[in-house]
Amino acid sequence: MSEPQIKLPRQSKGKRPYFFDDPAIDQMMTFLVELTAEVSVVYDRLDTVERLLETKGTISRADIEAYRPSDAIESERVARRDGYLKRVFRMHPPQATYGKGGTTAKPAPAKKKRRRRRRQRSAASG
Amino acid sequence: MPFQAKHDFLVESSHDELSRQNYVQRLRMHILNQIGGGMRAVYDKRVKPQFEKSQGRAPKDEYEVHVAMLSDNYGQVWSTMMRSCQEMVWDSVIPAVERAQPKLNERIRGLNARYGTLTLDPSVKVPRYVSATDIHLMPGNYHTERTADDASQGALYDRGRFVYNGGAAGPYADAIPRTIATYIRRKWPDFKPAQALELGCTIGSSTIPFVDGFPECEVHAADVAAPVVRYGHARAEALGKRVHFHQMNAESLKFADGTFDLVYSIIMFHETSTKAYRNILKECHRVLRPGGLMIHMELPPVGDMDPFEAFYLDWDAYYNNEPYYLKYTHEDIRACVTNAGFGNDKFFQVLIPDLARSPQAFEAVVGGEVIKKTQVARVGESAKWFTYGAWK
Repeated sequence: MSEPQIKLPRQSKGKRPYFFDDPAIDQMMTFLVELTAEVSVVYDRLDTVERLLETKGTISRADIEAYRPSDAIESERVARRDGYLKRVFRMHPPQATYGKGGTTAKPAPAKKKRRRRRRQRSAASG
Repeated sequence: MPFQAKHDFLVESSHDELSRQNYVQRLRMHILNQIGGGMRAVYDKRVKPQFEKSQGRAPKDEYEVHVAMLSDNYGQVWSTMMRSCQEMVWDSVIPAVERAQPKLNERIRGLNARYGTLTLDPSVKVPRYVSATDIHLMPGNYHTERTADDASQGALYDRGRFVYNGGAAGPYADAIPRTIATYIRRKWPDFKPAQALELGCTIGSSTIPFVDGFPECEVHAADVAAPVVRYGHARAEALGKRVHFHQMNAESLKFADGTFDLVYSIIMFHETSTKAYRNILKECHRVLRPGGLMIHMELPPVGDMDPFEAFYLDWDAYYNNEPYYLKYTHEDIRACVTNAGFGNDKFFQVLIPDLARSPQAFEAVVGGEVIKKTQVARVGESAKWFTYGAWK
């Protein structure tokens, strides 16, 4: 007699730490990292389809599910994943201080005028 | 290569699950080596100078480095990715284990052992240092049983740890124990253990290299958690290896005094409490015969590390559910070993290069060369194993 299916927990015990002042950024990072995994899975599936089609005229879902890459093909996939990781998670280079970004540039005068006009308009309408 | 050696009890993952597991392996290596590799430069170029500017001195210890690094954006990005990735390791394997569970337990229960034995002891109480937290964020930890004869935590650990290692420890995930067993054999060729005991063996992947390394030796392996020894027994049988597994607490072994010639553990102590560490060392001394060898591979002590390296190594203690790790890496191991009954002159410690990854350096250390620098040894970054012990 077979035993009943048991659900395994997905979360570990204990509080989850957050590293940014705003935990929403940690949450977004989790979404982002998880998403990169899903893209990689889709890429592998496409790679499987392409490789199967190279040898067979038509393929079924079962063919895809049953496919397991050889050592050589898996090595190609590893190289592709490493390149993908390097491109997606391109860290800003370590430097002495952070640049001030766009805020060091003086706003163009035209922009200033537009902003002032908008403020005046909103004051007039309000 | 990213392939794990197959055996009859390794869970089957689907096409997409395997793809996800293989991605997580590379992701972890990328975070460790590529992103983590930049941490030192961030510290030297930005964090340390800023600290010096505001405080008028350099950070004095790892705790100050910890706060400063995790206040920096780079440290925050690295940390949050490390944490997410660690969660993904188990998440990528759990569905396959869940699917396999009923049948897997049934097959293990009906196992007809041809090589070794399994001795379970339901009276063994899981100590708090195992039950209180899910070490390495593995949901359910080593000990959770959800049904009679449950071995699923063993199955999860087997596949999940391989994903975690990224294959760096070889197809059987046993690079460290293989290195240590070979070191013992090569360093002390006259030492011929007849009985050996591994403590904290989990699924026995660290036991089998000792079976291979000492074919004349009767090898026993103990762990407090039933699911992992159950699974380990099945795994060893599937691989045709003679191991005698016991569900036993290493703090109170059921073996008589002077039973073993060799007692060892592979990266176990940092998952036990300060009190347990001392109790286990005493038990090692008790169950060893005079002239026997106690040897443990563990995290290197942080005492002589620079504050940055100590912070980097201790990160896991805080954020990877390893609460005892910090106390352990700050222990005076020589004092603990001698307090357990071993002679001060019988104590030794050695940094052993990995046998498979750096065979020449391994040979040099067997020949007596000493590697002075204690390096950061998180799996995937280093290939030198800190090992210590004593002769009785």
